[in-house]
Amino acid sequence: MAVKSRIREERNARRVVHRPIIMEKDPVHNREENLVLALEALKKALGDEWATDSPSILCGYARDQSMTPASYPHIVCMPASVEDVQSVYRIANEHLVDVMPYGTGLTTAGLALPTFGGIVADLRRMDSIIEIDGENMFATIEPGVNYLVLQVEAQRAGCRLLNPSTSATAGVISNHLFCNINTMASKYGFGMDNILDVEAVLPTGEILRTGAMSYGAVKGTVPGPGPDISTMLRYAFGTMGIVTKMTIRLYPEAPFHQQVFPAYEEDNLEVFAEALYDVAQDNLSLELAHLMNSFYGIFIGDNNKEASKVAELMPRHNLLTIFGGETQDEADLKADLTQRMLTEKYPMFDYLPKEAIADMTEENEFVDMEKWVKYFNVTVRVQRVRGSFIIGALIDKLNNMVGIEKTMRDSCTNQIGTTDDALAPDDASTYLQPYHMGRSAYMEYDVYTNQADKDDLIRIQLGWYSATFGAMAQGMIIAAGAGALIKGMMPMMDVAMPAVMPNMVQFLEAFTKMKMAVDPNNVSNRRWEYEDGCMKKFILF
Amino acid sequence: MKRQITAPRETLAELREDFSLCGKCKLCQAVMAQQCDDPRFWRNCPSGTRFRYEAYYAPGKLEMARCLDLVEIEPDDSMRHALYTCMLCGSCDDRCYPVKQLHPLWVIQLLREQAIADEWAPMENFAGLLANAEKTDNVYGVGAEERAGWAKGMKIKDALAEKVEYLLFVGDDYGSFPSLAGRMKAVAKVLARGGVDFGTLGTAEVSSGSALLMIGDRDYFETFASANIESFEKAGVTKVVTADPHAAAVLTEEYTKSYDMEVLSFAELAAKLVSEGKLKPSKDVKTKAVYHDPCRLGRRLGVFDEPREVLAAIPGLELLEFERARKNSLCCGGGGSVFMWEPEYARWVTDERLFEAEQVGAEAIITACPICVRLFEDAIEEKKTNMKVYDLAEILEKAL
Repeated sequence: MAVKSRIREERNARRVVHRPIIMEKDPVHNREENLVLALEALKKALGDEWATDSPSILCGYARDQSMTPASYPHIVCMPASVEDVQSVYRIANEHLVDVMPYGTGLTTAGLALPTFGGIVADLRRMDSIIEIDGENMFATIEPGVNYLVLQVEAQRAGCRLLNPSTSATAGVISNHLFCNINTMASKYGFGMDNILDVEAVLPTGEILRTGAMSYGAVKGTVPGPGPDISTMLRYAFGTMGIVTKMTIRLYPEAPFHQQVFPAYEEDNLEVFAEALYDVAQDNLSLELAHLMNSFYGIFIGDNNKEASKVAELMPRHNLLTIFGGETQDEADLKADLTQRMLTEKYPMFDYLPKEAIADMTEENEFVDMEKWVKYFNVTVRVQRVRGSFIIGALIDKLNNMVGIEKTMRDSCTNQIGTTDDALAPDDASTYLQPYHMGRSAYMEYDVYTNQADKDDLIRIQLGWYSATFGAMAQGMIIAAGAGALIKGMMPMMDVAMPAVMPNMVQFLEAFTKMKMAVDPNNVSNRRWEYEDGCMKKFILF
Repeated sequence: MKRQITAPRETLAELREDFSLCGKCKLCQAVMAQQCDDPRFWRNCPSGTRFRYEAYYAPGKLEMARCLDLVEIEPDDSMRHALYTCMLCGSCDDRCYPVKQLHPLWVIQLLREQAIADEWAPMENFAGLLANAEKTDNVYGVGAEERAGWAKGMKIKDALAEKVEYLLFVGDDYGSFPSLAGRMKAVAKVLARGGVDFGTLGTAEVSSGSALLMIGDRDYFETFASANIESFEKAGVTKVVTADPHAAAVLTEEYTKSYDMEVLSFAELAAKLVSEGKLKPSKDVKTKAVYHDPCRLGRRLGVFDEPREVLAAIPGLELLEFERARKNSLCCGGGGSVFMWEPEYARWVTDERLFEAEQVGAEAIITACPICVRLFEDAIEEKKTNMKVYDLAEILEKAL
């Protein structure tokens, strides 16, 4: 049986041993002797099977699809109940070990990677839909519930979810806490605006219940007595505790739909930003977004080749407008009114006839119209072509996106080269999402590159920094989303932040005080040290 | 070993792109999102569903491969367990390849081959299987005479003695279990009724090597493959038909690398005979049955429609579909030879599939794989339910 391994020989010949940033020694937290005790205690509390320090299990939690370097946890555990989560925090505080919550692990930005090791609490065993109420239009769920499951269940109750542009297997709770960008945001807001109540285990192990859940009222009807402290868990990324239950709003599923596809070949985003604002203000459309041709490529094509082909077939800028109605006439009327308004104000637009999409479906085997419509109307699913790279930005004014897009494009085109396996920088695309009837917006800027290529990775890092800080200077509110992470990210952050965004100083101070109050031992997603306000290591992202 | 039929071999390092580019979208743990109508049945990765840690899903295994490649970790018991509880059902591959052109299934197979080559595979799990193969040329330890016993009383041509159009390749399972002997007879009877000129290798047929390849022992697999190919050469075989999808998969994907032949599954040939009017199912078989797509026959070889065409031609049979059907089919628990060393877990998967059959209102499960048939029957016997299990050939023969 003993056979010489070519792989081992090759590996030895290469003599390159990559060592990730792994399980660093910390004089205070995650001490070796404490980790042994913590593992023992976790096994006792959760059951032998549900806590481990085996490296081959740990390695599954060390990387995600971001460019963040590998960071191994010391221990992975899988709590199955709120009591289990309390036990995890109790043990973490007792032994001073860090805890990083892990919902379903779909983050594209290194958000669930355990920066300093410690315990990763994989919450996928907590996967129950506790209650779903079609009449009052809400669902109460656990953190392991994903969009695929909840969407199907909601449809059975005559409702639908705010489907984000992510994989169907993404966790609902974690996504709703991290904004939840969806194509209905213009009408109903982002997911984070639709959280009715939460149950969370604070880092001290105490249970916090907010909203209706806290006083036993009928859920989904009223938001409960104020102040609504559940908002402190938005964008907190586990710094404030672990959410174990959440009630979110559902919306009625429109039985009939109609679409209008305004398109503009000229590369003039300004015109499209205005048009987007006008459609958002009319508030007739159920779903509204701007997609560049290459973004269509990702939605419709199944791979890079198909994505490029679709991008060639589509005009440069496209508005996606989907109208819903109780009857087909109602949906048609809304679509017709919108098209009339756009025709009058923007005579330069073309309108893709629905037949054009049908023709494209017929001519190109890979264009599946049914799949496309179902994506937007019914099922969440994004098919990311290989090696996609994303910058997402919240923007205070829809018009600001023009300058921001230009900054991002310049930065990325200058920094990110092409490899055989990546789409050219010209194929970078933008996706604009008006929010709250156009009063603000979300913009996603995607560059497709080969993440397996080291040179590309370096260029991406540089491109990301250049694009992000350039865009922030023009009004991009990235800090709103990343506040919990930015604090102390690098030593000069406390100096740099006021220069770019003066109001952030007050916010960061308040956030720091809150964090110190709910997590006195700084065990829950420790981002910075309480003593000096800095991170112990510089995180590349 | 007389020949290396799969040389030059692929190594894990050659799939570096596949295990480095996984975006961890986790679609591989589910059925096709658009085709999920019942959230109870959204999961489709047996080992991930049972053991839950990331390592038991495809992205975790790709990560293991990457970390081994980068020499970040060494194999340990957890890696062995995660690797050898994967049923190689290919559901992850089927979700991933169309979207990202990655092949998690190949990575897992090559990880197993590396585990054997580098001697860190859990050899204690395979001791019986390997000893059986050594002693009897059959992974279940059934001797050649006994294996050929199913054909007793039937006039089946000896392909080594006379020229036949089709070689009927029996495979490891049909001849090894008394409960399957009658089903193998049904296969031969159906072919005969359809006027197919076929014969077998009789006692000269040895294991297809499928189980050996699944544990990652490519060398030993090739020993058996070479022996069979030698018999094929002697018999001048140009067409092979087999009712065992595991055999069909290795015959198609591996044997043909060094021996030119056409390989057909029984389901494909039966469908052809029915459509050409050579087989006319006329007797009523009154039952509400659900068809279970075997992983190797369905996802691996793409045979989805043919068995359904055969069943649609049977009068009285009401054909139902699983919630997880065709490409979304859940493994029966018999994939990857895991049932040989993790019987309780395999039974857990079989029970889940039986539950699904009951949920769709089936009185019977029809499948086209001897391992599926055996696992379903064992589980039903233990649960003492009224569910019936039929092999495709068996139910077709009833209707003729």
